[in-house]
Amino acid sequence: MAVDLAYRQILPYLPPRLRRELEALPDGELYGLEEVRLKAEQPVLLRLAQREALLRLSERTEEGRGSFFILSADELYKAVMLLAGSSLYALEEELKRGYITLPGGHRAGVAGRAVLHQGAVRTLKEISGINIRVARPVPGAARTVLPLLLDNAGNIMQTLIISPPRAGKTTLLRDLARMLSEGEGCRPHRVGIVDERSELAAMREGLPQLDVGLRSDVLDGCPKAEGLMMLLRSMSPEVLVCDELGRSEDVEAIHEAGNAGVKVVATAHGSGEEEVRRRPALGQLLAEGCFERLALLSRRQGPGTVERVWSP
Amino acid sequence: MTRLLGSLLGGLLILAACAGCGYGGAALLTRQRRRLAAWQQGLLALMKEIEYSLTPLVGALAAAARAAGTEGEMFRQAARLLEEGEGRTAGEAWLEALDRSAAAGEEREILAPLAAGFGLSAVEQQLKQLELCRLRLAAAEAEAHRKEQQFGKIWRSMGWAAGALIVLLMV
Repeated sequence: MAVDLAYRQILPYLPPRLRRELEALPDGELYGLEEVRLKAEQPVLLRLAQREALLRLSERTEEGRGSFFILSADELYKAVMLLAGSSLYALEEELKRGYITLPGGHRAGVAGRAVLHQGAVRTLKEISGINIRVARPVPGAARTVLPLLLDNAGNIMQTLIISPPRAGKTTLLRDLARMLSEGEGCRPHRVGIVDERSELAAMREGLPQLDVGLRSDVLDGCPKAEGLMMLLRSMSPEVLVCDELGRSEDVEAIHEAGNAGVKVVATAHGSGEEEVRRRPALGQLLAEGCFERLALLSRRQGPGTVERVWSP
Repeated sequence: MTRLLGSLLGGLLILAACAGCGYGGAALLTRQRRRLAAWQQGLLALMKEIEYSLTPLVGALAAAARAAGTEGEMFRQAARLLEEGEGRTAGEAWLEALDRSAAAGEEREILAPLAAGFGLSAVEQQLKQLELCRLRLAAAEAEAHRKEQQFGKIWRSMGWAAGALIVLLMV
């Protein structure tokens, strides 16, 4: 089995006892680790590519050898501190959105008690659970799909990637952006990326942690509709890329892009065209013929399985 | 003649040594006051970094170390320990840095409570906590200044007087 080291980047953010346990496991054991779920006084849940597992104490551990690894409340607190660099005050915006982006593009989702201000979530406190998702860039993930998304002149078509959660839509979208930007399998395109949730490029201190290509401009942490318009006005993109369309305000931004002759490559949650059509904003865009290509993903043969690509 | 010169030289040396001790005692008081003032500058820089730039603690502590100048080692150490990781929280890094610093007694009592909740709450709460600590340092500085004024001169005078007394007794 190939060695998969992506998960090692998240180890410094785990409480020491948990880190030691994971470090002690052979690399093959954690092959394809996708998520580590932490809850106080509960076993640690590992989500691997094809299965789920509860972490057990290693052979080296004297007490409770072989029994489940139970994370204490103190350790959960420590994990929060490590994820936040001990600076929760600096992450209010991130906590408001419910996650913290780590170097390497990994993402820690947090659940806790919402603090409201004038009816809107201001931040989270009393954090009760953390879900660390391991980002694993897959260069070439879009290689087979890209030719199906190009027109006869080699230009990208307006595309919507439909996928249920954890089926690899962000990975595919990132690689599409990279290939379009680098001109890999097509002519080079100027790409504008609106990375509202810092998942595509995983910007940190102005540097993309994940490769999105030479000609890509990234607008990080910006609401999609606003970001699309900003890039459209300022960066003269040929292609706009964004993750998880679905809000009503996105519709106008897609229209604007279309009117300016800029193609949009976006993703949406769903398990098929019909399901997507039932959603008001996406239904409107599909009814208006805004997308020239739809691609459907699944986990049938692992994350990123392309079920079909078609014209709606 | 040689004996007289030797006695004179010995007497001067004793006088200088005792005066040096006196000045040393006074300098300790001055150093304590300066240290307390420098730490306040460090805390002010820390507050500015947190309030205006939302700088994470590692960077904010480094800025505090720069602002505190030669007395900034405590902030620098805390930043370094925090950056090293090893599973330390900011509170733990702060206490470890305090252990390695010149802070003792009352100074430590003022600075140690920062460890609880360091970096843990919203900006306003962090600022309140830091301001409380700064005000307590300011009060300690005022007290150190008073002691410096009151006892600094005494230390210096006592140094000279003790030296002179010893020389006279030896004559």
